[in-house]
Amino acid sequence: MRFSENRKVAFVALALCVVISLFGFGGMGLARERGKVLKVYDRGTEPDLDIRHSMDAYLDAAAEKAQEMVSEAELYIGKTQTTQKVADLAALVADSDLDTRYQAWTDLKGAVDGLYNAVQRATDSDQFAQFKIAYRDFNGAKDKIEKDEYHRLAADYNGLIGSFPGGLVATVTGQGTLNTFGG
Amino acid sequence: MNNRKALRLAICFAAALALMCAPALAKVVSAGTDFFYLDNANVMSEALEGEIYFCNQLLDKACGAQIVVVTIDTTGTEAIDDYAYDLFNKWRIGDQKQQNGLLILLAIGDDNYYVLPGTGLESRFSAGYIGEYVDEYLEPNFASGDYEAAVKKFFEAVFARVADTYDANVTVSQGVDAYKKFVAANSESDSFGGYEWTGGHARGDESEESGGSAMLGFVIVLIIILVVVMAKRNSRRRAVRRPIVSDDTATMIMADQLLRNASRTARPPHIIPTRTAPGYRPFSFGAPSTPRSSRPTVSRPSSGFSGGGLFGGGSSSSSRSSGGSHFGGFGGGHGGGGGTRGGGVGRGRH
Repeated sequence: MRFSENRKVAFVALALCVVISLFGFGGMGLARERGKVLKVYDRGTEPDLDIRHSMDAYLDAAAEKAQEMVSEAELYIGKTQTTQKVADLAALVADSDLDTRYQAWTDLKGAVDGLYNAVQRATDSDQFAQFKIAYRDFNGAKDKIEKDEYHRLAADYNGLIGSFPGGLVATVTGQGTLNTFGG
Repeated sequence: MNNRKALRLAICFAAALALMCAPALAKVVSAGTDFFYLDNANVMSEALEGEIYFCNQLLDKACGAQIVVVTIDTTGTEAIDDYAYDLFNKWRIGDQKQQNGLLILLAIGDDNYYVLPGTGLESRFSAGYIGEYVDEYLEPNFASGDYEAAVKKFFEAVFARVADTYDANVTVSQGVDAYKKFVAANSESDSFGGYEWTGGHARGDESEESGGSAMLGFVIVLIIILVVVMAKRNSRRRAVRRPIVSDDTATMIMADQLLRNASRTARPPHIIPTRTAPGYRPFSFGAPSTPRSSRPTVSRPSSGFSGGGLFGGGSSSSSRSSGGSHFGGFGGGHGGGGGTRGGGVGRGRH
């Protein structure tokens, strides 16, 4: 029997092709797509700008403003459960992996509004000007997070792995969906 | 039968396309004759428009920054921050490199406003500080319904701040002086003080929906025409089978064609090549098609560009003066290529 007619060899070759196709072309291709999206998350779509404009930068800015709000709020209402919660969540948003940041961010938005209401109840609106500035800056960062290009790219990637054959490759190679931060 | 089927398909496709495109066609207004202001809600006087225009001229020249004021009746179903975001990026406010535009959007009918800085300006004049200016200069008069005063005070305050931020040596009074000189140079009256302005205001195109619908209608008609033409071409091709003909028949056909061509002007006669190989088929009995010269393209100004008015050049396809603005504009203007990523300040605590 010729080598090319050997059934065992044919099966081995087929299995090899399937593995290379799955993990090589499919898996590496998906990983490359995921990498592109994460690059936009980290550096934005215009990395040459003087100031960073990316999801990562906006989340850092939002966390910083939330911490400022806590510092200002403690002048009026002291250390409370609300201020502690905001501080903890801001710390998580500032420095953790994407998934943890996503969860912390989702909670932080509500917590910040709660803190604002608490301070507003406790003081005259003329008095907490610095707090209000920080709050508006926080909302500015929140607005930019919601409008960032990252969401569209992440949604496209999630759509890719949500359908066949991307879903199969993603399951086999262990690549999950990317969280969008309310965009 | 196939023609009808193709036509039905085309109509269904066009209808589906229309339905899909309808939400996408909910648009923001286009820039007015003079780019720096657009008073669709008719709350600003011509003097204020002139002040805004000439102050912006100076600021734009000094540092590329642009502060655009837009008043509209309503943003419709769209949230004001999204509307402002779309408008800012459509008009491309501010310098392209510095991204230092600022949009002041007032939706009078909605009792709402939104102030949105460009990407570059936002880092120097953040939402928090814009909010302070809003609280002090815009909100009090806006709440009482004095929109002209609200816009004037706020514009002057942010103008000074932006000029200071970019070390542009320009002031509001210089802009006002430039406006007064313009008025004196163009006024019909001999004296400035005695003249009473009666005109309306330069308005942008409010009928974005009709503009968008016209475009969609055109697309639909084009699709239908294309499909019908293609269907007819297919059916004609199927109907006409070109048999192999003998030399005598070919000669007769050629003579007939020559006679027909003689009655037409400027068409060369079609020459059938002599039969050189067995089984050769004449490929065409009709007149050859002459290549058509391509239509010269008309360049149109890009979105956001607006020239026109009394002294400016070019024209915008979507803006017009209505009701007789006194001067028909101050001289035109256009966006500098700037953009924003959001992060503005709206009414209320946000």
